[in-house]
Formats: sequence, structure tokens, C-alpha cells
Amino acid sequence: MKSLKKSFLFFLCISFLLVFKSGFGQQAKDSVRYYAKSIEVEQSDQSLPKAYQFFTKHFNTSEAKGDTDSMVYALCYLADLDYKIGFYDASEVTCVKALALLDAQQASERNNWFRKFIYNKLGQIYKEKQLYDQAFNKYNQTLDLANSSVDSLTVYNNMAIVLKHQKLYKEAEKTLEKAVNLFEHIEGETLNKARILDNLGGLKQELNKTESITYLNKALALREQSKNTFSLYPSYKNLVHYYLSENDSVQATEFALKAYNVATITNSLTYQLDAAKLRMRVGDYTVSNTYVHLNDSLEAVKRNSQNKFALLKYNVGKSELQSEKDKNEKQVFQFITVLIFVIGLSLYFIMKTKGTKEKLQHVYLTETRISKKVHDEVANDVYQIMVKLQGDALINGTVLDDLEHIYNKTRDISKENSAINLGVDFEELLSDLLLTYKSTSVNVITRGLASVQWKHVSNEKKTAIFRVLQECMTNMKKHSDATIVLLKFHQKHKKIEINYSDNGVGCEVKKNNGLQNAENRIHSTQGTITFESEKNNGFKVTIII
Amino acid sequence: MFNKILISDDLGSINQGVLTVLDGLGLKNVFEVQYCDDAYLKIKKAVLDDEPFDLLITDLSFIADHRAQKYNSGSELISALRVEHPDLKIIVYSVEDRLQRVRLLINEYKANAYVCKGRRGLIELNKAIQAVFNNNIYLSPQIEHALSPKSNLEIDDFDIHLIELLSQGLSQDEISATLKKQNLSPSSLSTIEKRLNKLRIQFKANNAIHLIAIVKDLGLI
Repeated sequence: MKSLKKSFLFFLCISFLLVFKSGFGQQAKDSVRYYAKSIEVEQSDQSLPKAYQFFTKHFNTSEAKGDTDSMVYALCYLADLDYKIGFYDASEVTCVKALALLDAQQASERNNWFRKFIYNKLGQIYKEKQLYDQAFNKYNQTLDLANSSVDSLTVYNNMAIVLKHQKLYKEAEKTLEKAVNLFEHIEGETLNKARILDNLGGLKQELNKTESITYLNKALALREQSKNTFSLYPSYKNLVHYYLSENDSVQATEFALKAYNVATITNSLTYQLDAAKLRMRVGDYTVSNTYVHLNDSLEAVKRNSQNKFALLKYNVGKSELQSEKDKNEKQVFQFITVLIFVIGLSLYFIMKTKGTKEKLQHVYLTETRISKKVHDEVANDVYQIMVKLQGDALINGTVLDDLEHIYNKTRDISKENSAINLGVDFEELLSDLLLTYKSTSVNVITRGLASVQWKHVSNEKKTAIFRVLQECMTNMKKHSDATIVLLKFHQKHKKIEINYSDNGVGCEVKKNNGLQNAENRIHSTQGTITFESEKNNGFKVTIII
Repeated sequence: MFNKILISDDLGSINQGVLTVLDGLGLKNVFEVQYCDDAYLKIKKAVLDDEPFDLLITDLSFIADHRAQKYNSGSELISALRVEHPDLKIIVYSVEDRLQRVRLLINEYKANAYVCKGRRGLIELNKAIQAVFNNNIYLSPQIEHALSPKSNLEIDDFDIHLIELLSQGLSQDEISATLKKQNLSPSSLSTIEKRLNKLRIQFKANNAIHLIAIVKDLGLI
């Protein structure tokens, strides 16, 4: 029973723990970098949607934590993603959201950095939407915030592109020349510089300026130096345009071919299509079929990727909904588990108490039954023989003494287990019990017997107290040679403390049957009992029940 | 002495002992029954015959057998008879020696004597018959204190207070003065002396020092 009880509790505890073991996995910081990188370098058509999913999640967890910096960070990447895939409106919305968060923050270097990024992104978005004035405006705002020459370089370039789209070549040229003037303050940034030189060369060619080719060649040289295959393509393209305008078809064809090769190496459909277009412009129509094919597949890819992305965005939204639902369901399950746990526990204790009560009741009934039998059948028979013998003058007196001894013993057994009339005042019952042990040689003294509120004590406890005190008193009478017995009763809140002490010879406390019985009785009512004795130093018992 | 006596006990041999006692007292008109119902009917009939019993000696416990009984125990019999025949003298003769039972039978059911069966049972029964005849109540010595007030055992707060003061080394005069100061009564020297004497007897102590030693050992203070 005991092991069963333990294993049951153990099971409950374990299941409890399992339910509440929440899996808050630490989000590796590396994943942010990984997905940020995957936006810069499109590895597969799945990488952008995956990144989008990741940053949406990142935004949500940051929002839950109230970490605005991380929120803005995630929004920047989301805006970038939408922009890359061509969802300019969505990107714009995200940017505005990020700006609102930034406005709520105090000015800081970080805040500044984010603002620059967002303004620049908005500029790009407006440019794509052909809202050139607004784009230009945003770039100007970015420029205001720019605190390094490198930043300015990028912004100038972007501004020039807007101006070029507006066919304001002169203004564009001026802007780019401003950028070129910054070159001497800037170390490195080869690609940035090359881009600006290349763009400037292109502009000058539009304006029919002869120095155009110098810029274009400078840009090409820088790009070749940087060993970035991708970046070579714009240079080749601009050179093709230049040589076409100079009517140098040999050079134009050569660069068109180079551009086409670069595009093929980079495996970029956009570049390949563009390169094919270039070759056709220089009169090389061998690629016309490829062009048509590329055009089709590019359209398909673009549509496909937009569709996929849209689907994924939808899925993210749906999974958010799902996770919210899951969370609710989880809470319901947790609640149910707790409920089951509580009910189980209380049932367990109710059953246990009920079981103990029934057991006690059963023991009590058996005892009284046997007691009555001993009394009615054995004690009476012995007495009968005694009476018979008393009339016989020939019988030795010692035989009668022995018989009386047996008779008394039998009666003691019967009395120890006889039914207790709990209907009467328990105080009186106890007092009577103790009185029977009072004699000329033994004085029994009680203290505080009336101070206990016996009315509120259960029958099980009363029985236990009665029996245990009876046991103590019988022990005292049989073995202790005590002349005084003191019984102190004390009500301690809901518990009753009973101290027994006598001035008898005492003994080593060994759990003989009687003491063991007493202990069992008290324990079965969730009480405690301690025995204390030394030779020649009396016997003491403390019961708390 | 009693004219007509009824013995009610389910054990014939015990009745034999009782008969010997009665014989010794010169009482010859004795009837025996082994069931409470028989006892009840016999007493009723005797009243109707105008030859009533004037003494009933009865056991309390009767072993149940095949005969269904209206009165299953001596207690039931006594309680019924007492209402109808208040003049009948009743002596309980039983192995039962629980004080509540004794108190119940004497105080509630108005039995006239309670004799415990035992080695000296018959001698006590002899005494009981004579006492009852003289309108006295008789109880066997081992259950005598059943009717004494129960506060006999209890030691009260005042006693404890006295002992505590004594243990602090105060003389009886000083204790009296202290009690007066604390507005506790009784505080007179004579009462204190009486109380302490009572306590000494209770704790079987030879003197005040001995009393304190005993009380301390018992853990009363």
C-alpha cells in the first residue's frame, strides 16, 4: 500500500511537470545573420519566403518582449524583402510602421541608423512607383541624416538615378560629381566608387561628353580589380551603349558578348535577358530564340516567386492565427490537467480517510465482539468453577487464588477491548476509566481534563485516546509500582496534547505489544505518540492527536 | 428479613452460590429463573397473586439463545420493573465493573445495590442484602467511588498556582501575601495551609520540599 501510494504521487508529480515544461528555446542569434544574408544573396527562390517567415516571427517575439529596437530591425528586413519581391505598397506600409516606432523612441545613433535605412528604402520604393519627386525628397532626408561619406555616396548615387529617370541628366551629373569629389575622403568602397563612376560615365555619354569613356573605363578597371563578376555586367552594358553611340560596332559586339558571358556565369535570368537584348541591339540575332525563351521563363519565375511569396505571407498570417489557437488550446489543456490533478488528489485523500475510518471502525467492532465473547464465555465459566470450588472445603485455598488470578486476567482482556459508550460525556468516561485505577496505593491526578472541547473530537479519536490511556494505566498497574500518576490535557488549536507521567520504576522503552498497539492506534488517526522512560525515573508518554 | 426472593441468572451454578448465602441468612422462600422475561412474568404474576417478591438479585449479561426475549439484559429488566414496581428491592450481581454502568444502574434505574462477582462476591452479596434490607445502598469496594464526585481526580489552577509559589521558595505567609496582592482568593493562611496539606496527601509527599520534587518530576510545573 505504501509503495503504491508513493508511486501514485510520483506519477502525478511527473505528469504535472510534463504539462508545464514549456519549450522556450533560445533563438540563436546566428539565424538573424543567416536570414539577413539570405536576403542580400538570393540563394534559391525559397530563401526569400523563408527569410520573410523568420523575420515575421522575430518581430512577433520582440513585440511580446517589448523590444522596440529588435522590432524595427525586423521591420527593416521585412520592408527590404517586400521591396525585393516587388510588393512596393506592402514595403511602404512596413516602412511607415517602422518610422512610427522610431518616432516613439529617443534620438540615438541606432535610431538614426534605422531612419537612414528606412528613408533610403522609401526613396527606392517611390522611385519604383515612379513618384520621383517623393523619392528625391526621401533621399534628401536620408542625406540630412548621413554622417559618413560612404552613406552620402550611396545616397548621391540613388538621387542621380532618380534624376536620370526624370531625364534631368545635368542635375544627375552634378550630383554624381559631388559624390566623386568625396572619393578622396574614402578608403576602399571600390564597388561603390565603381558604380558611381560607371553611372557618371553613362550620364556623360547621354550628354554627349567625350570624357564619358574615361569614367567608364575607370569603373571597369575598379570592378575587374574587385573580382566581383556581378558588378562587371553594368560596366559592360554601359560600354556597349557607349560604343554603339560612337558607331564602333566591333567594340560594341565584343562587350555585348562579354556582358552575355558574365550574365551566363552569374546564372541571373534578368541579366541573361538583358544581355541577350544587348546582343540583338548590336546586330547579333543568334540569341533571338534564347531571348524569347528567357523572356518567358523570367516572366514565369517572377510571377511564380511573387505567388509563392504571397502564399507564404498568407501562411505566416494563418500560422500566427493557428499558434494563437494552439496557445488557447494549450491553456485549456493545462487547466484541465490541473483540474484532473486536483480532483485526483482530493479523491485520493477522501478515499484514504474513508478507508482509514472504515478500517478503524472494523477493528473496533472486532475487538468489542471478541471482548464480549471472552467476558460471557470464558470469564463466566471460570467464575462458575470458582463458585463451585468455594463450596468444597477440601480444596486448597491456593487453587482458588490461582483461579481468581485467571479470572481477573480474563476480565482485564475483556475490559481492554469492550465497547466504549461514546454516547455519554467523554470527560466523565475518561475520568471513570482513570478512577478504576485509583486505589489506596496509587493516586491518579488529572489536569485540564475539562479544558478540552471533547464535543468537537471525532469518535475515532476518542476511541484511540480511551484505549491508549487504558493501555498506559494497565501497564502502570502491572509493572510500574508507581504511587502517583499525572495526566495533563491541553487543547492546542485543533489538536489535543495529553501528557502521561508516573513516578514508577520506569523501564527501557521497548515496543512491546501494548506500546506498539498504542502507537498504531494514535498513528491511524494521524496523531503522534512518544514514550520516554529511564530506569527508576518514571514513565512519560506524550500524545498529540 | 425479605419474604420472597427471585434470582435471575442464566448460570445455574452461580445461583447455587447465591442460594448458599441466602440460606445462611435464613431466607428460604427463593425462586430462580434463567431468562429476564421469566423474571418479569414471575414478578407480575406474584403481584397479581398478592404474594409479591420483595427482592430481586439479577445478573446483567444473559447469553442469547434460541428463545427470543423481550428483555435481553438485566439493565432492560431493571428499567422496566423500576417503573412498575418502585418498592421492589433490586441487587445487581454482575462481573461488569465499569463505573458508568454502575452509576447508570444506581442513579438512573435506581437499583439498590451493585455487587461485583468475584472471589469475595458472595461475602459482599451477604452484606448487600443486609444493607438493602435497611434501606441503604451497597456497592462492592472496587466500584465504591463510582458515586463520588468526579472532581476528585482533577487538580485545579489554584493548586498549580500554590505549588508554583511554593517552588519559588515562598513561605506560607508570603504565599498568602502574594495572593492578596494579586487579588486572588482564597488567600487566608489557613486555607493555604489546608490546600497544601491536601496536595501533600494527593501526591503522597512527606513535606513541602518533597511535594515540589514530585511535582517537578511529573512535569506538572
